[in-house]
Amino acid sequence: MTPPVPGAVAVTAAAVLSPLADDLDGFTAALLDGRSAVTLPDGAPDTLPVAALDGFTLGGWAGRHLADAPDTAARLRRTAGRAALPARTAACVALRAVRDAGLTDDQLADGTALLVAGGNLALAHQAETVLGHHRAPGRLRASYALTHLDADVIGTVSELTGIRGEGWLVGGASAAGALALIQAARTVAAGWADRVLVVAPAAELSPVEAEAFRRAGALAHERFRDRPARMCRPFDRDRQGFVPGEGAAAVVLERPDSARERGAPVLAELAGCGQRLDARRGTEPDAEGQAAAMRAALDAAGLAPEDVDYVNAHGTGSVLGDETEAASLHKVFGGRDTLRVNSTKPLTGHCLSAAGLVEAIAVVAQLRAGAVHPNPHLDHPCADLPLAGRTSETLPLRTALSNSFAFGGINASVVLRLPRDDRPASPSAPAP
Amino acid sequence: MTRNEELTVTDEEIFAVLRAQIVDVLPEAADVEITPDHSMRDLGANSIDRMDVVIAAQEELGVKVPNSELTGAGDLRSLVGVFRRSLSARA
Repeated sequence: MTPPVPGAVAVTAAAVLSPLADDLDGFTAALLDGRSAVTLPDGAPDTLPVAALDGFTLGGWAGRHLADAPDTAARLRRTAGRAALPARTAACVALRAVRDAGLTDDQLADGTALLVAGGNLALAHQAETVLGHHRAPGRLRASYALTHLDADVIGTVSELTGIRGEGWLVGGASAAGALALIQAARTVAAGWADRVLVVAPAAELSPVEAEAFRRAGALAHERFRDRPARMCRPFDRDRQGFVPGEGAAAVVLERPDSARERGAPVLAELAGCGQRLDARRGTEPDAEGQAAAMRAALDAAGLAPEDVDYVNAHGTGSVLGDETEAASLHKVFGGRDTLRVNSTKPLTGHCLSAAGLVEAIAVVAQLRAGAVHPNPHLDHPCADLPLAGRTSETLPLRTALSNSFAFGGINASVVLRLPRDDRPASPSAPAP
Repeated sequence: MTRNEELTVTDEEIFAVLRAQIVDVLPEAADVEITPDHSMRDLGANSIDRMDVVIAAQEELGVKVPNSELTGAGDLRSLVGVFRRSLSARA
């Protein structure tokens, strides 16, 4: 059994950096519009689709988010400017999250932990450096000793935010974002830290990993090349695989009572989470393990399947993956038609190790908007599921479940819900 | 007469290479008018940044400078001198 989270944990900030948008409001609007960031980078016949952070620069981001804080913008450039893409994206979402959460320097220095989701984050940076070293060994930068490390994200984010509590990397391939969220919730619930900043940096693929995924049959690359935005099509008859996406996300988790005490806005609550292994190496999914993770998350939240209004599926667009997830969702939820299921990946691409956190934020966005985003490419639904349609739908959403599954037989589910209405009318804040 | 103009042509070329590498390694240095009186430390370079700059400059200038000589150079003027001596020794 996965030990339950003793009590819900409050989400007091949610920051996202995606080709769709670089703030929560813009991200919410893009999701509800069903906009897709997937493109084919150039016209070559063998090019692979991607949802890439092409226009992202630290300077551009700082201009939009730190116009009121030139010193912070200068520190961002100085600290993260020489790091690889994952650390640069992590720096941005981390800064935005701690600012939105309203955390003071003292709170960041004392009582805040940092969890970073992912592993092998800077694969394109590594491949470029290795190829460059082969061509011209004299040009190898000494700083590659630092920039190739996933831990460079911990150094970069902690320097920028001033976090001096614990710092951890949590890996788990495509489930890493969800696993980091689970560990963060437990860290807060156990009192190991007052609050946790969870950061999922944008994960890179080099052309080598992308080609290996293609050869493994996991990537969409043949159909719909004339309309690349439609290439990722979870639960559709004509799906062919996933499309990689670059996206970063950060959230702040803390105890609901301490969030209220310091007057922080509570965007949502993480009510429960579950993780199960298939005890099987490889790439094939297992409906039993997936269903077990979902049930564990519901048990931890003290909820029954019928309490869930909405499921954010792992839904990559993989031929076997979607079929398996449809089966596991059916095991847990039956065919109830008041439930809605969608996948965010046709819009953002598959953000790999960041997917679980990007999608948790997509869930928070939809709960708060009271609407589920469309499955815009669902021309021929091939699963017996209450799938969201091709336009967004307004619904009285309260409780949602988000799935993240990974190679290696890792299954993770988290339950998110809107904050309870029955909070005390006058929180017992200490007199100033 | 500025400090730059006091340098010989060869020194200016070496300085230009160093300045370009500094801006490449330290993006924030692009905002600064870099002079031979600056040290890389003044410009915000830590030890690993300084290694990035001198390794790239050695590659660019086609010269190998012993580490022991590099550590003695404080400002960019003396670093230019270290590179000039290595280039002359090679010639």
